[in-house]
Amino acid sequence: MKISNKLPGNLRFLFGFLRGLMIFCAVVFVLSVILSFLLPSQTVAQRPLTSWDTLAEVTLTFEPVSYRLQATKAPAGEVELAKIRGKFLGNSRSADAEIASLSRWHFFLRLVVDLAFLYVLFDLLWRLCRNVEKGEVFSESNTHHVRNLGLMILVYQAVGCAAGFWYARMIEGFLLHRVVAEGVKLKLHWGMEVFPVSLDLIVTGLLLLALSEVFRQGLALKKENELTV
Amino acid sequence: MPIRLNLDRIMLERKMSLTELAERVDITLANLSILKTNKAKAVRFSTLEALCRELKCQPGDLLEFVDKD
Repeated sequence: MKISNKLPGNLRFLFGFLRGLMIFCAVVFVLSVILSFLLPSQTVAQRPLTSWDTLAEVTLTFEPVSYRLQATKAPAGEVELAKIRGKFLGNSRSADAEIASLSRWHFFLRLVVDLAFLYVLFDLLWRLCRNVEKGEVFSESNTHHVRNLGLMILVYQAVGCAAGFWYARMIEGFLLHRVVAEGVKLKLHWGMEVFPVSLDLIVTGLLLLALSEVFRQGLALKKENELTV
Repeated sequence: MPIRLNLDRIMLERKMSLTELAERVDITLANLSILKTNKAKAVRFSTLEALCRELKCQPGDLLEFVDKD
């Protein structure tokens, strides 16, 4: 029983700390943006692209082309190429300025949305725990907090997808105009880096919306009970 | 609510204050005030019994149906 009594207080402390951490991260982010404009670009360390930087799986389809193969220790043969499949890698430090710029904007947008989402999330959870700590479980305020939590998660997913859609369209345009030759068909399968859709988060958001309805009905019952003498 | 509680009228007839009735019935002043101002959504039989006992009246004297149509 003691643990459950202290739990809302401890959680409130944790969410308060995490909320503060988000403010700190936002300040660091703003400072790093300012520094990136002030410092020359050469000072930024280059690192080779890895599979973590995969933006999409690319499939290029074209008219079959035959190639004659010659080897020193094997009989000669022919190979026909009709499709090439591979990974399209890129990030904000890509050698191509256009890809780097697009990736940088996408990264900034995602970071701003993530920080705002996490700040509001921890703030709402902090308020919820504060109310529970005060003994106000079924209250107007908590009903709003739970509903806002659910709505915010769904909006966060929608904004993430919108940002991903914009990024995907820009990258596709870049590939079509700069990389893919005439007569070659381009097919892209976008990775999680571009479209960060999480079914878990969507289900959690919907569950919270359902829970807010439970809170609303609980509040109505509580009000009725309070007016029973 | 079309059901009204004529607590104020009966209290006036019995010359009993709200505080005194609250003490006799053993409910809080706030709850008795809810009853008196007709804000209550429900009345327990135990409360009604105590009110009738202390005010020496019948439930019908306390409760009244007011048709708004």
